[in-house]
Amino acid sequence: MNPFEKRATEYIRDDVAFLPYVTPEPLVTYLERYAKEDVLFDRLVVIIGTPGSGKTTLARLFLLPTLTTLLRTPELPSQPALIDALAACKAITTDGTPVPAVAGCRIPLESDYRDCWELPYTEDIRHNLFCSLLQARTVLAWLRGMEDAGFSMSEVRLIPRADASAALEAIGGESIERIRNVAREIERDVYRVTAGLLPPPPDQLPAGATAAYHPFDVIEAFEIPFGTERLRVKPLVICDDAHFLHPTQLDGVVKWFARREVRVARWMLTRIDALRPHEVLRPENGLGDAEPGFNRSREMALIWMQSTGDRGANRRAFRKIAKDMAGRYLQQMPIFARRNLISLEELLESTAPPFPAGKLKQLQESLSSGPRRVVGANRRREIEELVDSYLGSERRKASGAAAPEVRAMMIRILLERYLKRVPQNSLFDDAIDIAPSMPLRADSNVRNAAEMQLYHDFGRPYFYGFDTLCDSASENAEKFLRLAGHLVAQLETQIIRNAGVKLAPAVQDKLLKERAARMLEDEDLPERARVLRLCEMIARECLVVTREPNASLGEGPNAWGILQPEFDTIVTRHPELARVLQSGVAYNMFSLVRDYGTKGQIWCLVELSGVWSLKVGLGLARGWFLERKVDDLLRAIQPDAGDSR
Amino acid sequence: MSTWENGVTHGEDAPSFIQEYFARRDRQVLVIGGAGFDPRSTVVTASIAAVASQRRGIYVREERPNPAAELLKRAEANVARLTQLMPGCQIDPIEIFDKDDGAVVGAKRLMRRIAPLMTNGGVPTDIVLDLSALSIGISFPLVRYVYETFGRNGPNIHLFVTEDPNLDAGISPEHTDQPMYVPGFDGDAALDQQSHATRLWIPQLVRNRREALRRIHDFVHAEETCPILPFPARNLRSSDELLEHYITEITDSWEVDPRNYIYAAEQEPLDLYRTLLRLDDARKRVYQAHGGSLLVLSPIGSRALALGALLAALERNLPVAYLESISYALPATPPPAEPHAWPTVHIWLTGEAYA
Repeated sequence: MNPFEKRATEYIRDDVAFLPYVTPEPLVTYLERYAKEDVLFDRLVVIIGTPGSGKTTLARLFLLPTLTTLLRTPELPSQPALIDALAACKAITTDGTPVPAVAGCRIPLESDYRDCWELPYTEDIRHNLFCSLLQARTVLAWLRGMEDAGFSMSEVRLIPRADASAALEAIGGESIERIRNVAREIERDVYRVTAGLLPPPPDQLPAGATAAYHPFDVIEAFEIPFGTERLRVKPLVICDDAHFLHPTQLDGVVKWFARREVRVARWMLTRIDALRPHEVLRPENGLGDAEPGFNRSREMALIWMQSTGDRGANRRAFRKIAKDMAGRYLQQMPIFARRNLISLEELLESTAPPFPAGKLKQLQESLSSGPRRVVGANRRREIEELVDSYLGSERRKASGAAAPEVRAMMIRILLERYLKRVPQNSLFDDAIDIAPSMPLRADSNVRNAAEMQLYHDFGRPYFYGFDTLCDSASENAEKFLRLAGHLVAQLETQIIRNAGVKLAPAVQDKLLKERAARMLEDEDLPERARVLRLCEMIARECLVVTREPNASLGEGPNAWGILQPEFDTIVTRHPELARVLQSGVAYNMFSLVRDYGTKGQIWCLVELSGVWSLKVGLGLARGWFLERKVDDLLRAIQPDAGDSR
Repeated sequence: MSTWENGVTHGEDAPSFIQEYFARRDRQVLVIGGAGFDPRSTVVTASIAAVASQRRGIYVREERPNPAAELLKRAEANVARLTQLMPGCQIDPIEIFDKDDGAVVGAKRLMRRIAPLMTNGGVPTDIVLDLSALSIGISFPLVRYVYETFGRNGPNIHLFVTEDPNLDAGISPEHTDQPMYVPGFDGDAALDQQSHATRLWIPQLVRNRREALRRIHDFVHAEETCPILPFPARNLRSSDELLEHYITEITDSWEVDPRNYIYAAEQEPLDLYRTLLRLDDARKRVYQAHGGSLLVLSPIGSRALALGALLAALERNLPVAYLESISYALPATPPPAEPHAWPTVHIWLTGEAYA
């Protein structure tokens, strides 16, 4: 079994089997800061991320059965690191023997919650039905979690809020068994209403559907026996998939959860879909900000599980997470674990392979052919010196960047640039030796461009090495696993056949392209056809510029740039386009880089994901883009004549 | 004994059954079907209209956002044909997705609208539910509603599908991203009382639905998976082809034991129905003392097989998990509008045949 392909953390039910796969890094990266500010279990926390960013895996770590399994299984190799990270998030108390501090349960907000909104009743009735169903299921899930964690229900005690005796009675008093029975009755009665094909008239709603039931306002804590002590744990409800609620319904829930009267800790996990288009296209805004009297920073914490700021820092953070994750997955594969091959980074060859002599000769001959043949000898020598001087440092020699094919391609690019910077007015092949209008430079941009041109013109591998693999995943854990899974499957075969323990760059490059194509083919998202059309158009145009002989945009663009003020008109003037952009961002087909300053103006970049770069052969660096207008975006999403998608 | 163990069905002889049965003068027939782009929309109606003198029709036009112009054109042509075959018929357009947030709302809104229409002018002697051109998100709730409202001592209820697995495989749906239980077919799966039941997911495989099946699998959260493979089938290699197509999912994701494939006759819905009931009985016995057993069905492939799953789900209150389609694309060269070569399958759901 290849756990990379299986997306192990999603499928493994048993916590002992699940925990070895879990990396503590996301806890530190995304949550620790908020734990230090004491907001994680004190107010509403909304965690936003793309599908596959690891929200649900993160949530699972806070469930009571998972926490207790972790604490009771010292033989888990990952136990100390996970306990440290969870303690940093204040989910585990480490004064003395580590014990759980929270009792989390996860409630997926599936369609029956959205169905409450669909009922033909007043908004108040619909909201109350939703609240009752959610609270009843949460209570049942907490109790189930305690049972699953091995606690005897007769020893569990509910600690109610001091001034809530009437409300306490309505949820079943302090008897756990009564509390469970009341919750079951409420769940059953509300469910009968929401799940039926034809709802009853409002005056015939079953008793449980109209009863006053507010356990979130009543329950302060649970007391559970843990070893020889009795522990107080804070109940935590994690509402997953909140994006499936109706926007007005979601607003109502946010306001409800933001109230200070709610005593339990509450998290909402959501994809970007939950936001309205203007919130996606302007992510610094967010849920509920526009509401009068609602101060987001005071009432709730918004945590983004995807890059919103410094690209370099995000990539470094994700590489760390990915490295740890890959190591843990490899340790679960006997073929790798037996040989102690647990670093994917070391298994992926990251040095460029030797360039075939025939191709090198062909490349070198091309320096004096075509339009380049008219470059004079002196100028040619100067260009060669520029390149040699750049590649001459020991560091570049050691890293293989000074390989002869890279040198030759850099010279070719500079020759082309030179020809663009001098007047071409001779009808004959007179040698040109005049100074260019702008001085030429050999730098890392030209080197990267040379490697990209070698990839497209001579088939030299470009997408290989662990860092490239991580960057191609666009900081998305699931995408990383799917890409890595294909490489790991090949490595497994190689090892079984004694064909070496490292994957050659050419093989990595080929496998990554294959997998990227399949991932895009399988991708199923709202507005799929129009999102794909837009991505294909961006990719096609970027590829043309990437392959220009003078590499005018370095290793090549991977984005369209729209002037920010013009981009900001999309939400109001082009709502359909806004929906397409929202879907593309939500599913990581591209990202929006807002307020990108260059050329004296502020741009919004629509930057293709790493998977698209892999499929088409575009660079992974940020900043190279084609200047476009909103009209170009609109044109791109229009169906071609005869397009039946 | 199960309700449809010896159910009355017609396959190759369905056209002659229609000709004889619906030609009787005492038949008052209500046909409820789909009026979409699907070329099979008109096949059953045309056969019934040719012989039935007292007939009326209600046709559901499933509306999805941004339909392709070609599909609209085909749907219009089908509506025109249905109106010609069933003069005065009602065409009921229904938005499958909510305009605000894209949630799947079609089935429940349709039930509220269509329920009073069914008995307008009195209860008919025969209700024909033609599921050929309806999505399962509409057809399954419709069958449940009609069955539960009229099932006992009521009119005859007939289910028809015009079957073409190749066309079904060729139609490429674009799915919504939220798997769900078909309205009316949740099987109480979300209730606390089912939380300890051992779940077995039974998807029907059809090509090019990898991502959809992956999402449904995540949603169902089943301990085991038993995929349904069509055998015997018109294309005898189709089982092997499906296994090859889904090899990564079957071996790595779902970890299906090769002994756990369910083979079901492609054009014989009762074969699958009986198999599912046997499976349910066997598992109930085994898991009785361990929180119970829950079979979750996902009939997203052949329509005749979906009928078998529908009957099992109706009888045992089994949950049916699926992904609604946002849009469809037809194969480049779609088949002709009313091909007589397509087999029609009939199941007599309730009525005088069982009296």
